[in-house]
Amino acid sequence: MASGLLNPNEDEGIEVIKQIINSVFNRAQKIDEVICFCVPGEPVDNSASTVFHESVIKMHLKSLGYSPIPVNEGLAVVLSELAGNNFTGIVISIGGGMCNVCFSYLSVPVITFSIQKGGDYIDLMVGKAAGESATKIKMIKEVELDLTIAPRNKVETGPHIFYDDLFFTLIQTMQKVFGSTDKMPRISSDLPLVLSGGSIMPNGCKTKFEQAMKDVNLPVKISDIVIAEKPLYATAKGSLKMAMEEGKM
Amino acid sequence: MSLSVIIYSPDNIRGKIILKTIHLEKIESVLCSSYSSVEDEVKKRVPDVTIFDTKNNFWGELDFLKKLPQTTRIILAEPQDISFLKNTDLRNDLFTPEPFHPEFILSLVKAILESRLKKKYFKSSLSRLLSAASTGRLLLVKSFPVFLILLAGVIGGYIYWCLSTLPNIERLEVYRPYEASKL
Repeated sequence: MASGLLNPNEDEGIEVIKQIINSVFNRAQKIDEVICFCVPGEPVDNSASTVFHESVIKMHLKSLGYSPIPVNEGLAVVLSELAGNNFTGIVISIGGGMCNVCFSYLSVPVITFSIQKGGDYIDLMVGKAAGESATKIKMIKEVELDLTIAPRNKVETGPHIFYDDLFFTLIQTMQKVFGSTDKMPRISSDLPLVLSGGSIMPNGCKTKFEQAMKDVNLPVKISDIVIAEKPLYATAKGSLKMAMEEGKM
Repeated sequence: MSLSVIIYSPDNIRGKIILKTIHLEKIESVLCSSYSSVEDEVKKRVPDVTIFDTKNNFWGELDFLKKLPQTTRIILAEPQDISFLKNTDLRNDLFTPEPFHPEFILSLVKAILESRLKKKYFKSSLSRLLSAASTGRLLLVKSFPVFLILLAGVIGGYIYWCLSTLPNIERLEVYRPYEASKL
């Protein structure tokens, strides 16, 4: 994988993904059993396309006897976290390779997009700045990073800087995309914003994001910013919900 | 007595948003993305309201609207296009300008359907009343509420008439029947 998509430079990449899928699923138990799999939104900061990534997974799931349905990652989080708000709101899933954004209105994914920056970008950039490997930075980030505490050294300063940078890029892109679409409906009520994904888990991330959002004007007003109940599993939970609904039909 | 709405939008997302907003109020509605599917739906049943999204439409194609049966039409259009549309045969329709406002569209639909429902109820009540009267089973039919309303009106009118014909109290104060008899 590279930047959230199948890495075109890895010859064995597709085979590895197939083996990972095989280790999780058996063949379909009945003909055309519905299976939902999560796909990222189209990146707006890069010419990369999700079509190849999506098609490879779809083809393999079909070969296992399933009827595969791709679900946008942001929409999956909407289905998991925004049931109490009629599936209306904004979701940002901050993963390793990408940040996925979805603005949903009554479960209709009005705007979906992604940027190819995420946790891996923070690890890489902090590693470069601190002279450490990205893997080591990742370990530190996942185990002991607390963004509410003032940094004491280079390794701790890096994540503060690059989380700010990531959130800045993300919010600027949101402003640009939300402001340039004609699909945005006018909504009288304020909407919740849900943060999800593994890279949002370090303590203090939400506060940092709230600070970055302070002076930002979006076409919709945000009522509150919340973190998904289980940030690592929200996407899977939403995809499962979707598969259960599709399976009923 | 259900009422129906046909939504035409070539834009799948806008169409779905309108559909879901209307479904929230449990109003029967169907989304069509092509003219042929609108025609098919109309053949099945004449809708009470048609919502027509002009976004991404060619102007020439709007003639299609004239072919639709007489229903109330809500046309979504850009503000600069509305004045042009009002100069065409579509001037009697309701226009909602951009930006896209699904809650406003819903409020329009609800208002139209409510007035249609009242009309339908009144018509059906009247026809039932007439048919019952013709068969001589006036008090046995389902139009009993209408009869009750009429009865209440008659009784109310009678009471009002009685009260208005009472002698003036002020005049009674100076009325002296004994003295008057002496004259």
